[in-house]
Amino acid sequence: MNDTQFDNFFNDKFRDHAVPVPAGLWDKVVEGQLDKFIGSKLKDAEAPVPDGLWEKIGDTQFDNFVAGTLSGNEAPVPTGLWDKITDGQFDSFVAGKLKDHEAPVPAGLWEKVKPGEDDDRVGFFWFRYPAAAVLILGLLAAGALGSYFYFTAKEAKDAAAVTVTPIGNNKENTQLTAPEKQLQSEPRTGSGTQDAGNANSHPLNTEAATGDLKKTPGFDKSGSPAVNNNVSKTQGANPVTEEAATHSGANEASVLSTRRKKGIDLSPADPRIANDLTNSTYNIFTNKANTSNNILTDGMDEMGSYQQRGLLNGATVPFDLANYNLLLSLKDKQLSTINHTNQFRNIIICPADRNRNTDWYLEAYVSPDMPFKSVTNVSATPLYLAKKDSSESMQVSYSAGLRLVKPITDNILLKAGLQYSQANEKYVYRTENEVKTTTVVTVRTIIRAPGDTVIVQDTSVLQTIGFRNNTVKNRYRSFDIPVTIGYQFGNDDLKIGINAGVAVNLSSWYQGVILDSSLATVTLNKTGNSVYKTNIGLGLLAGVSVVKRLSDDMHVFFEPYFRYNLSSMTTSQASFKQRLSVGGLAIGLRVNLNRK
Amino acid sequence: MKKYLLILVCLPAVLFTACKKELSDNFTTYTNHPLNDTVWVRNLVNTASIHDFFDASFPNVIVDSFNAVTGATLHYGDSLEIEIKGGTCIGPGTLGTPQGNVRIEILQLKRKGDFIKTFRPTTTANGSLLESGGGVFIRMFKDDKELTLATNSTIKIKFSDIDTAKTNMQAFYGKENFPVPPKGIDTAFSWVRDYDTSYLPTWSKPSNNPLVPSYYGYELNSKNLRWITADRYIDSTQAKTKVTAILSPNYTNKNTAVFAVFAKQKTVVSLKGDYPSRSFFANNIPLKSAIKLVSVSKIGSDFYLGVKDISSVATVTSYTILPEKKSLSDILNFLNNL
Repeated sequence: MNDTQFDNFFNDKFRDHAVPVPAGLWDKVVEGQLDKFIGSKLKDAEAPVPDGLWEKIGDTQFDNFVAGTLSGNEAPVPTGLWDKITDGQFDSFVAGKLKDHEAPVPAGLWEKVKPGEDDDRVGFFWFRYPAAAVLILGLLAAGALGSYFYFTAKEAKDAAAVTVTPIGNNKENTQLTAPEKQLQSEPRTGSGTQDAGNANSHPLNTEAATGDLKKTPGFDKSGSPAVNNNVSKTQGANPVTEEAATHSGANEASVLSTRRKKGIDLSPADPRIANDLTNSTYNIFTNKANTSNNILTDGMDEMGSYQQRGLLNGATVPFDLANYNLLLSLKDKQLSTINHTNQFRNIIICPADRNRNTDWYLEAYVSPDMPFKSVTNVSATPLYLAKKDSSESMQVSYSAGLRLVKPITDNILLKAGLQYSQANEKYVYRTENEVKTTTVVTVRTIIRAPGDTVIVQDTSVLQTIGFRNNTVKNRYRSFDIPVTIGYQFGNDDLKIGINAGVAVNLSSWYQGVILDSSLATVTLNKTGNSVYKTNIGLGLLAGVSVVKRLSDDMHVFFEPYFRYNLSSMTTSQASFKQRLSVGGLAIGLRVNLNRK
Repeated sequence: MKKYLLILVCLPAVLFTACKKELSDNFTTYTNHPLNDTVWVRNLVNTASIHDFFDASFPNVIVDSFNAVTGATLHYGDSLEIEIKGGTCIGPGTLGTPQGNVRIEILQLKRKGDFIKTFRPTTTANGSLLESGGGVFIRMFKDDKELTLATNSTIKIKFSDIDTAKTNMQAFYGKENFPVPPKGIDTAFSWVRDYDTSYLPTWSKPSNNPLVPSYYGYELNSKNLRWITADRYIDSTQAKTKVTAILSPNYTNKNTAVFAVFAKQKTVVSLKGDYPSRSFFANNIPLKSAIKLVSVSKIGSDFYLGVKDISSVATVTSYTILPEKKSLSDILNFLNNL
């Protein structure tokens, strides 16, 4: 079979072929026997593909054929249809029906969806091989970006061949049965072509599609259809996508309803079934459109009666049953819809902020710190610095704070808050000739006279003199605004992240003692001294965080961090420059503020 | 959730309360500082700091000279007059009567404080208490050699008493240790009554002018130089008791001397240090006497003064003295006004 034999076969055989509908067939269709038949027959059907067919399809011959065939086709719009759409009847109908509609999620549905996430062990891979994870993520990002540009260009090219054929009846939705309406409203989280978040966007998609239709430059005010080469604006006019948009789950009723009723995963267990069925519709539909616009239009009548019986547009197959045998002959030709569906723009409009994380977290933490001090001489004597160095030693300090965490994405976090820090310093100095007073009780045996001995207990004060090693805790305190941005990875249970940012000092003060120029120890008040600044400026922060989930809304985290202050904490009048850097381990709790 | 919030609240509280320990000290006593020396000694050594106190408190003496050959009568106001006849003084050994002028040093004991400053308690060797009418210290030098009175020679001393002169005073001489300690106190000092136990004649120089004081005193012919007083034994009919003074352990017999000073008479009693009981005591204190217990101490370079007023001595076991750190001048002023 050469490149055009298959196409010629279709073109020649079905162009003007008409097949009469056997008596009672439509009744069986109305009763759903056809759907059941197709569903049961084709559910597990596998058709062998003839040799070379996949290669022909794969090299886009089929797609090019379809695109070439449909290019320039125009389908007349029934009289008054555009008026109904233009005056908002369709929108009002959809809005009225779906405005306040709420669809309960079937019991156990989420549990069947979520385990898939819980069992996802990809996070452990990230955890074990972060470098590999970063590399893979980079490749995926590059691939996604490349794919985006590739398919965007391709869609723009292919959409030029799509013929706009608006069909459908807004009133048809009134024929839906309650279970079907429920199916329309069900979040289609299990759809093989869209995620859970997109399922709820179907009504919006419908509106968007309709809106796009109205705004399509190819349509004039009279509503007369026109060929639109703009892919992004003609998607709503695509008959297939419009059906999917306006009827939401209805177009899947014949295919997906079976799966949903069985309560299984909404994603196709066997992609071939969905593809085949969808493909069958598309193939037939497009073939109809390709062979004759009238057939498609004529088919609307049949479809209308079919729909009036309560069936769905998407489930209708407007083809001539006379060609059914020919269609059956194609049963053995299992066609891939991948390339074919690429010719049509996906009706699922993904939100632009699909990856945006709407969570807010509040973190409260305390941190044991270890400050490090660096002193440089300005005008102090070597003896002064030596005594200062021998007198002072940094001690374990602490910080505490609150901060808000805004996940920009699932991996990137922006943190800002308020932090109180206290760096402790042990200052030891010796004072001489200190007199220590101790109350003592003395017991004396006094002989008043021979044979008259008295024991006297006397409470007195004993003074001792010596030197005192005084230990004073100096405190460097500050309030800062830490602002960090971090990247975290891992699974829901355990995440590891890296953070970096700045700490903007609001206020700092010193309390304790210090050596004066005469090497005497003097006390400095926190309010006003000529040695230490009241604002130490900017500091750099860097840290690594490990976050462990405690519950759905609460995490505990451990964050080793280091802070490097950029400027000296002493004033220009001081005889030395002193700078503190702090390393610590922040331990805290992270609470999800969006918890329900 | 509550558990986590509780932890979140409690953890900072623990950290904050842990920061309460702001200041600590490590006191180390000096090993050789006198204040830390609370050790008593059985026998007072010459290096004891109490010697330094009396070296510092010893009054200034009057220095004069006279011709040893011709003799002289020295007048020092209305309170003291010394008549020395020629050839009365002789030098040590074979030096004989010195020729020319000799140096004479005179110190008059007028007040009770003078007996303390010179550490000359008015007691005899056997512990008898004396009431003093005042005294005088006379010392003569020739070529830095101290002179003595020749045998059977006397000098006539006429000195005043700040109180009314008593009629039954007798001459007493100071008995010092031999050799006389060059510095500090003479723990062996005591008063010995003159063999001539006759009462000393008194003299008076009354004054009707309120601006001019009246003078009363004694006149005696002393057979000795150095410490000479007009004393008498106190009334022996009164019951006597032992008075014990207790001080803080800082005050030992190495750095402290305690005196019992009678309020109504010039009687000063030194309380001896009692090693076993680490206390100071004095016997033969008449009951119902009004006395003051006065402690003077020198610890390191610091002086301490303790005073305990006893309006009426009773048979109590002990009295506690709480010395205070004072300057030397303050202590001397106090003693001068006793």
